[in-house]
Amino acid sequence: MGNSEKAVSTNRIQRFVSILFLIFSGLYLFLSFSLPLGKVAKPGPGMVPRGIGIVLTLLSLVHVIEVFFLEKGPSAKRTEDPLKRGDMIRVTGVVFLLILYMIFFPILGYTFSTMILVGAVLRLLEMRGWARIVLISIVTSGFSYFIFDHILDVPLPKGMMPF
Amino acid sequence: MEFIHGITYGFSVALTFNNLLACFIGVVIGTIVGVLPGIGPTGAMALLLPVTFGQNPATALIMLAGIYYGTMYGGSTTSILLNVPGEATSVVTCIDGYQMARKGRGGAALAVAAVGSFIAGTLGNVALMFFAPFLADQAIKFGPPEYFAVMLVGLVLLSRIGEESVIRSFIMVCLGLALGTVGMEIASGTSRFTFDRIDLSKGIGLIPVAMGLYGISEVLMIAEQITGISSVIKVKLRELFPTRAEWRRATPAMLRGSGVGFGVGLIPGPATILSTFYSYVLEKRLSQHPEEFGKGAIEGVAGPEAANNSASVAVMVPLLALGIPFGAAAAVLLGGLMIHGVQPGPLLITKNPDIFWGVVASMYIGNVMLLVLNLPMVGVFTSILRIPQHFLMALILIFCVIGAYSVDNSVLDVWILIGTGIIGYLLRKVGFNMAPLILGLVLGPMMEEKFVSSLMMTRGNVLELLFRPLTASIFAFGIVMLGLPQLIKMIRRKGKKS
Repeated sequence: MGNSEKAVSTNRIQRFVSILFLIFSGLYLFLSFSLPLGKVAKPGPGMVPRGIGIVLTLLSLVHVIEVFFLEKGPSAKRTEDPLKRGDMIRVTGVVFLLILYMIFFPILGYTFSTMILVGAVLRLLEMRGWARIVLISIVTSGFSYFIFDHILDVPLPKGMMPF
Repeated sequence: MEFIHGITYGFSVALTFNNLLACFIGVVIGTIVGVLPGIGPTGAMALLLPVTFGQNPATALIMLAGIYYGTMYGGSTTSILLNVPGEATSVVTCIDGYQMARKGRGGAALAVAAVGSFIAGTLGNVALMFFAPFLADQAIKFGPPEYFAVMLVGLVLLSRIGEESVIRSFIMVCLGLALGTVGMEIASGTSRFTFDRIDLSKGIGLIPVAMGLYGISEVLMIAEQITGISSVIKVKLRELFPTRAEWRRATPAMLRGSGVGFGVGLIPGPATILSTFYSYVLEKRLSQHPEEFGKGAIEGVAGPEAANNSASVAVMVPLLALGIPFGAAAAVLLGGLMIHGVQPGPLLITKNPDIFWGVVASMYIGNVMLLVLNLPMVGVFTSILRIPQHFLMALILIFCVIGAYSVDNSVLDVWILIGTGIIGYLLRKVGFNMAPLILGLVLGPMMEEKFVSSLMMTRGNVLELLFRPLTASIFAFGIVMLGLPQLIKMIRRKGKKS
């Protein structure tokens, strides 16, 4: 992975995050209007959310302005390394696997879905040796199931599987 | 005399086999977490919360607290031997600790760090023993407005002290507060932001969010950059003894660090981190050899290491006396108490003496365990760094999923875990601090309840709410704390000019 590799700058992530905040705060404020406000002497369930929504939206707006229009954005000197293409593929891959895992978690149960997830993540992260990957995924998921479900009495979902 | 009775009872609780074992497991895990860079005490406590489900509340809190103060010990090891801080609290220790190790005094630095942590932890514990019951007695006089004021001041101070950008901190606080409003509103029974999902009516839990922000985001960070470790400086057992001159220089620094740490620990914010910086600056100012700082001054290790331990104990004061956490790690401890059905607040000490006094006594025992563990076994703990990151990642992933699911047996909580993990990763990439969000989420529902009660109590008279004697004093304290750094800067500037 050389320096010439395409990289996502943290500034772009910063912009993405600031927009995400603005969308969330706007949506939150909008939804808070559907809740009864009440009176000052007897506040309704909407009073606090509306107050939070207004402050959060204003702050998010200021943040967007800072990030997009002011050169000295808050992250200017605090950012970490830019995300290189190879790193980004690995991170996106893990995120994708986590989402797949969540879909299959209730169906396959804890042990099997976790076994597959751990194996797939280890392979994605370029761990060498299939035998090692299979062993780690079986041992970690099986051992954790045994410890939590049998010894610590923490029930884990079984899905359509026997354990 | 009440405290003698209390601490005697505490030792009778802490010295049972189960509690001793819980304390031991807690401090060992804490040390390991401290050694490993990345996952910090907050994440570790959140990850291991499900392990405590079958235990009684006192045992659970003894173990969780052990993890918390144990990390303060472990963090120094990698700072000294590798120049890699295991925790943010040990960043300062790198400066002189690593230089000492390069000069062949790594053993002495490790010993001073461990002994300093022990002294500070023990002194802090003595202060906690006296201070928390006193504060709890005073807090019984608190009404909803006072509680609201304490929490509001706490959140503002945390945002102001912990971050360079006020906007970003306040966004995180508000985000936490907003997430805290999801679910059924207790006073009216109205469902808010639940989108007709019954499993959302209980609200968004602290544990899945904390695990996502600290655990899953760490997994993604590891995925991004799988790295190896640099070579560890080896230390032999006989090198662990500092010279007489080194002791003479380190001892006053440890005592000062203990004082600084406890004072800073009582103020909302990242106390354990800030205390190390304050202590380092203080030691450099007071030292007769300031030129040695940065080149291996033993005071630069002793002071900050004592300070972070003392601060970690002081953080327990508002948590155990008022039921109000002033930091993310304390918030997870509070979450742990609530999951075990314990109502935190000023009555905790009288209603659940086994928890308060049991935890206090266990902290004395835990500090001794840590001292014994950290010195002769330093080689074992540094070898933990050789665990492949792939394996570590698999473990974090598994603990996160089990932890999030098992709190309420809810698949939705696992979705929340994954979602907050992805968001947490993005936020970490651009340098956001997670603590204000966690605190906002924990304090939000409590603050709303106290705020609404206060308004109803004063029939909507906001001025009456603000100018009650105790409330006004709390707000005044907050204003002074906010203005103090600026005032000190102004005085310094004037001093330099003249």
